[in-house]
Amino acid sequence: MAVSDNFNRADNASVGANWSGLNSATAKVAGNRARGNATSYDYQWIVWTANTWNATQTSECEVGNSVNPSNAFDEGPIVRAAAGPDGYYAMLHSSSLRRIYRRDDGAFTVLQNMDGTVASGDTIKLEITGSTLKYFRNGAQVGSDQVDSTYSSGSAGFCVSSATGTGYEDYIDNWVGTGEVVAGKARPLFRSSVRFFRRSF
Amino acid sequence: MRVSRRHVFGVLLALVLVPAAAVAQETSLGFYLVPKVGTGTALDPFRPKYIGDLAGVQWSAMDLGIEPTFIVGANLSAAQHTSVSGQSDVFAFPANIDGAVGGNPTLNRVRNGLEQRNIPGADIASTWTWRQVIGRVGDTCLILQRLNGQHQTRLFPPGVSLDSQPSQSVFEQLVSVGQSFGLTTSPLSIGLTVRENLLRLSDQLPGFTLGGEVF
Repeated sequence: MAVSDNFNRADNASVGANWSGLNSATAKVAGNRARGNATSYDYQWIVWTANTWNATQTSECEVGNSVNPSNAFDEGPIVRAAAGPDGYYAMLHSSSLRRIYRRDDGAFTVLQNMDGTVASGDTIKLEITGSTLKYFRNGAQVGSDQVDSTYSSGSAGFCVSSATGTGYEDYIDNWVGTGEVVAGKARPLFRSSVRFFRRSF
Repeated sequence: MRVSRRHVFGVLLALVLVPAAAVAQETSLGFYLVPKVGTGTALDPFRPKYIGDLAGVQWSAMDLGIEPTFIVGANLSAAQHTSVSGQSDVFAFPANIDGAVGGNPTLNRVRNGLEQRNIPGADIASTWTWRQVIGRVGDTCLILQRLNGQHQTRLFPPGVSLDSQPSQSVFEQLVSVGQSFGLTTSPLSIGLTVRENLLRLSDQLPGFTLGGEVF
């Protein structure tokens, strides 16, 4: 299962009821993308709260900058995020710096620094299983498995850093999260197969 | 003077290859214990001293919870390795991590290197491989990271060492850390030192990867 948001809706000061901000500022919808909504430059962590989350989860989104496509990518997917903000963050500090960060009560710690670049329109995914984080760019793992045990639970979401009117027009788009807890009774994926087996045995 | 096509080709090849060789420096994966630097802001994040400020270097690190130490696996050039390993506050592991630690003075150096950073090291034997030593460091990191995540507290505030006896609250925190990993916590005891309690937890952990190496 997965939850997703393509932000294809009218411009709004909020990204909607499925999301909650972990900082004082939140994110907005503008131009069918999610962007920062702070009055000053900040790292705004937004988590999907329409579901609760399992410990194993992924967060994936398209990243970019609509003003300067080669610069200032300070946004990306987050996992096991909670108030503080606490959690893990695939941060694109600039077009040539790809890192996995941990945040502890808002403080940043770099866990891994990777070679390579990121371009506007790239899809970045952060995955966590047990204590192991994996960073993917356009479907391929970058760097090595990163182990950190600090946080064992939390929500998936994204970070945006742009501030209204500053020219830092970072955005994320087409967000997908997996690992959400689905309410209600689980349904078999292949009902016809189940019926066949029930009839046969 | 007659210049053959072969000479021209050779000169052109050299012009292409020499700069390429100068740019593409050979790197190799090494492991280092380094201090934690930074203030925790986005522009000055906590990061491994020296290595965290090298441009274009691929590295992966585990911190010792809130304690000011990182274990780092980094792909460094020979010159970078020499520079980093020459720092007095860095412990650099040998390139062959599957070799044995051996006797003194190396044995005492690694024991002291760990103990000074509040990582149990006094029991390391000459027959241990360096991979086992790094495994000890990483397992201790995992315990102290979870302690930070659960309780936002230092295990070693001023006045507390590996050989201190844990307070009731610290003991309870270590038990809850063990439970969160699904470890057996019955061997823990408030009558034991912090060192012994730590080892009874970390020795149960299944291992980890760092820099692509399995420990």
